[in-house]
Amino acid sequence: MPKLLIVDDEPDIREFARNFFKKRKIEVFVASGGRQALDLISNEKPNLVLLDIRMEEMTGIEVLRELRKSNPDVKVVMVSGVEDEDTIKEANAYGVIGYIHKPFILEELEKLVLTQLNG
Amino acid sequence: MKYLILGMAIGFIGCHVCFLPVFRFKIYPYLNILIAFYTIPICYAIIKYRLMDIKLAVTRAGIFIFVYALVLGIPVWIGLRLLGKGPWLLPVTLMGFFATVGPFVYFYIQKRAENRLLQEQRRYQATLRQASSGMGKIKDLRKLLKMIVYVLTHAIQIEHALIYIYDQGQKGYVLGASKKRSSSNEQFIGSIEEKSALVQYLSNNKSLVIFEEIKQKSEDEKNSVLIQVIQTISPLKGELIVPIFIDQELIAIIVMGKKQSGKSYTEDDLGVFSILANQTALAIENAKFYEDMKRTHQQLFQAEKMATIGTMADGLSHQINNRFHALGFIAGDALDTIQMNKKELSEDKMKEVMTELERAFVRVQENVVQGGEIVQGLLKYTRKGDAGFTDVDIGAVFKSALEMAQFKIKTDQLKIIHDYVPNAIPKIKGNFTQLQEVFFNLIDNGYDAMMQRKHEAKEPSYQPTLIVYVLKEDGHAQIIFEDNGIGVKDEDMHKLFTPFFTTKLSSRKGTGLGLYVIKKIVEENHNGKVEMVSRYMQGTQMKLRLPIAIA
Repeated sequence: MPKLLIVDDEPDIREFARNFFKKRKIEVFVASGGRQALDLISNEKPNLVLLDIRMEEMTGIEVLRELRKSNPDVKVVMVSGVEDEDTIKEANAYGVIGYIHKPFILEELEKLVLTQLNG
Repeated sequence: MKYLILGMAIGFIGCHVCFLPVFRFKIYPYLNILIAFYTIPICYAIIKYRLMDIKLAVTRAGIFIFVYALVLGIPVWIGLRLLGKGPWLLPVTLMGFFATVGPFVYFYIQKRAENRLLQEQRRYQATLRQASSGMGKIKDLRKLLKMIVYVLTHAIQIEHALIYIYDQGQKGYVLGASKKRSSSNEQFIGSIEEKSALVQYLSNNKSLVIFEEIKQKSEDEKNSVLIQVIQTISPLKGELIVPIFIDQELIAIIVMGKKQSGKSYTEDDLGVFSILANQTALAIENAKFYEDMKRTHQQLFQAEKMATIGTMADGLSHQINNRFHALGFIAGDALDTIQMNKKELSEDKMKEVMTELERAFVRVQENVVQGGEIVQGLLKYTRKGDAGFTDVDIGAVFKSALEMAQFKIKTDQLKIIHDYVPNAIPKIKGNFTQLQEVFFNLIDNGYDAMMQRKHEAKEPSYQPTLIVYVLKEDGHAQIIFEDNGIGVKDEDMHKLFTPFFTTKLSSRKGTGLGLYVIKKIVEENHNGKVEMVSRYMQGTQMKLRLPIAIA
């Protein structure tokens, strides 16, 4: 089963995203913050990471930076909300597969994730 | 004054010593020399105590001595020459004595008589002078106008006094205040038009108008302009009209009724009222200026609040966006479940799906509630706060301010300690919205100071902490916001409360108006005091002193 890691500080997102992808036979891990995310990546080696940019404890960019030091190959999709251009550019520098902008319809996310996991 | 008279008297007596030898007193004019000595100590006293202009004193004394020496000396000398010594010398000497004393007695009696005659007038002129000096202190325009008409009516004992103030909107002079002695129900005219004959006349002549005089003049000269003026004044029942000018502009008109004593207004009166008019003009300008300033301050507060919301826009929009995102996700997943299962539904599966949907809708509602709270909080913050003063709970203000602050700063980065017992703290007499603004700014400033220290000092064990104390101190609550942030450098301290000054790192962080607005709100609107104690790299204490609401 493909592994998916969802990193988001909103509890509802973690709960319902997990529901959704479980129905599609994808193993879902969730992390509410950067530290937890990095640990899970090391331990579980997910096939795809959905990384929220704006979080309380550590920002998505900081997580990405840390990640690239130890795991340069992990596929990451950034989830952006109200960020400005500069932040997006910064993320690009660390190599991301793509972006998805909040709020989005689940169909979009489904397409993106399935493509990445199968391709 | 006494010294001058004494000096003159002594000088005079000394002078007369010259005449003594004529009467065969064996005192020779050696004593004349003493004259100089008598006047010297007096001159010394005058100079030392600056009793008067020395030139003036010497001149006056000199003239007095000279004139009297001639006036009395010459006739006596002539008399002696022509008549020789005789009984005539005695009456003449007496005459001389009375002539000297006479003027003084004359002036004294005249002054006393005058005072008695003009006693009434002197009395109210003194009252009016007092009133003039007191006028400048009244900042409320309404109160000022009421005071003026009251003082006029009571001091001069007139039937009524009215004051009309220029109103640009109405293009005329509107009745600002009125006072009448009698309790009759007669109403006074509400306004005088800018175009009316009276206003034109006053603007052109720039002097006081006595109704009787104008009436007489209009009958004598049959002047149509004056007749129109009379027509305007008659309904006002004014005996004396006093125009108030500032910079050639007629800003107000005072109308005074007849004196209760029936006497007419004298020249003396007019003089006093002219001065009063000038004072009134300044006092009215002062009151208007003060009102303008208050309005400007209110606008400034509102502008600062709006600007602050700008700095919160980022946090606010993130929060609201997240609510929509969550709603979308929850709805999407629920929809997905329905779509996946709607074709075939066993009873068990049905139950499972229903449970899932139930859970989904519960979460939807929760997100809706959270979204609503954000909106409510924002509205509470933006409300103009004209609601006036109420008994305010400090704890509630702090909680509210902290809620708003969460949209701008990461409150979980700080340790916040309340050093007070929530229900034991006294309520303050104040405006909730304004105090919320003050507390918000203090929390925000504390946060920025602490973050600045965190990034600049790089102390590994640094724990940013904000402590709020509330103490009770003789009818006032002392609220202290203490942070262990970067503090303020000594050289910046005096600039701190000036508008647009900020040491914050980015313009997105601050408008530079925070402390200025805090000071104005606390000190001007709440009659409180703001104090700041700070040490660079150690921390800052912001102390607010606010009056407690009396039960």
